[in-house]
Amino acid sequence: MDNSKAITVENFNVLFNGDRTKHLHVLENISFDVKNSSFVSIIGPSGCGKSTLFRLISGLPTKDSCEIGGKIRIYGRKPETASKNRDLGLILQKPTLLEWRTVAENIELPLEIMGYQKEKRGKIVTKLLNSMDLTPYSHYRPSELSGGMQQKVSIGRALAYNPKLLLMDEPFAALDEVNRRRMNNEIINIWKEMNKTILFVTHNIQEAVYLSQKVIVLSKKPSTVYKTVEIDLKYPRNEVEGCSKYFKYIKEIREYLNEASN
Amino acid sequence: MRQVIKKYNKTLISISSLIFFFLAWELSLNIFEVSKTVLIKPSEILNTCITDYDILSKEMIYSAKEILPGWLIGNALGFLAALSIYRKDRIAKRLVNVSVLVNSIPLITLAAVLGGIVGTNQNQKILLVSLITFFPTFITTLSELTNIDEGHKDLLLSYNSSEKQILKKVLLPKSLPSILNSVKVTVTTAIFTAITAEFFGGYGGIGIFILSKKGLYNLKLVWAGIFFIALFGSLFYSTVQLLQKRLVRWQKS
Repeated sequence: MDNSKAITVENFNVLFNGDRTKHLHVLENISFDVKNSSFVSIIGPSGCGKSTLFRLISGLPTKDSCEIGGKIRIYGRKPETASKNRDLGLILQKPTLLEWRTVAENIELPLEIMGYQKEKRGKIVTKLLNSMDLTPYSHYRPSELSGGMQQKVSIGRALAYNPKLLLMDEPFAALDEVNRRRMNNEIINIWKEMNKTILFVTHNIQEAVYLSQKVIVLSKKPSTVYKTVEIDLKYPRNEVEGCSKYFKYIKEIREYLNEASN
Repeated sequence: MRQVIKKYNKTLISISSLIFFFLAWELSLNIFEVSKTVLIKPSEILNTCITDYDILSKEMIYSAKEILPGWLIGNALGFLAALSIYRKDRIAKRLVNVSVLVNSIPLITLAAVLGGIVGTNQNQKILLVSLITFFPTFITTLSELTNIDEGHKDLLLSYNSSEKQILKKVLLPKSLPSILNSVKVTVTTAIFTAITAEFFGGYGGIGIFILSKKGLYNLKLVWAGIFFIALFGSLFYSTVQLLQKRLVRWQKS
């Protein structure tokens, strides 16, 4: 098994066969890969099929009338198998916390479902709360937390069962600039310290450049990989944020995105 | 501390407004001359409640034996029925529609017919009460269970949880507040149903009692009966409310 590649997508095609949308080609010949321990972002115009791609990589069911060609492999396995193998951690656009559970109980949820022993669950949760500085909030309910904090808890929940790969679908889209930047730094720390592989879907160019080693630009429907940009900047990125290279990347991706939207 | 005062204030306001209501009633009857066949003073009613406590409580208990089992059976069946079919999507949606329709029919009119079929004993009232309390809880439970947040569903699927786990960890806790609300609403429905059914005939109960005393123009006992129903109703309702608050504490905080 080729372990250097976390995700490989090969000649991937998706067609919707709706009543009104006859044979709508959503994704066309998409190919890319994500190296193990890397941070890759996918950016594209809205409605370009990012979410469909995200669902398929996550092994989630898609709309019934969906024709799929090509293949997606996660550590050499099908997404569904990888998901069963607990290789995937999902962080969605909305925090989707269970409002009747406290922060600690929310983080514990996947562990309960996966059948971890109670003692082990407690240990993992305590450790995670500690390392994410969430301990003071462990007994709070989601409704008592800000949007940023809620999303942080949802990241904690995804980390609980220690998946190798984190799949994030515009997780900070609803946050203001300051909180978004704070969460960006947090996620970089998590990526580095816990040695994760991250695939990050976003529509924010700044965020993509700030976070990733590689940015994949998708085009409008039918979506293809328009360009791939390697971001050759050191971490932590807040130190290189002012340099011309950083802006050059942003400009470059913006141009690609403009071209890809036409 | 402030919260304690606030909470205290709330009960204080409701108690004082109740006292004010009865005082106004009492005083206005002192000032205006109203025939005793129309309205009597609350003090007299209270007096009757005490002097005739034995018979009143006996009749109330008789009715309670129709109300409580009926209410329990109706709600339990409503909940269980919804639980057993919520996963059959198409049937569930149709059943909700049909039930909403049935629920809008004043089923209490069945009391007139049911008497001829099953008799007018306590069991007839239990049957009616459970029939009428069944639908609200069935409809609420079914629509709550068939309505899951897509994000939660995706998330649980990504943990490979079974349907049973989804039910236990997400659907039931999520639905609990609404279900308990419906259970609470059916308290009033149950009392109303049993007593109205008694008006159509029966062998005992506070409804029959009120009806017969009305025939005798004994307005004191009629009113005392109404007071007993009100007392029973508030006790029943507050018990369920207390239970609800205990069970869904997370919603308030």
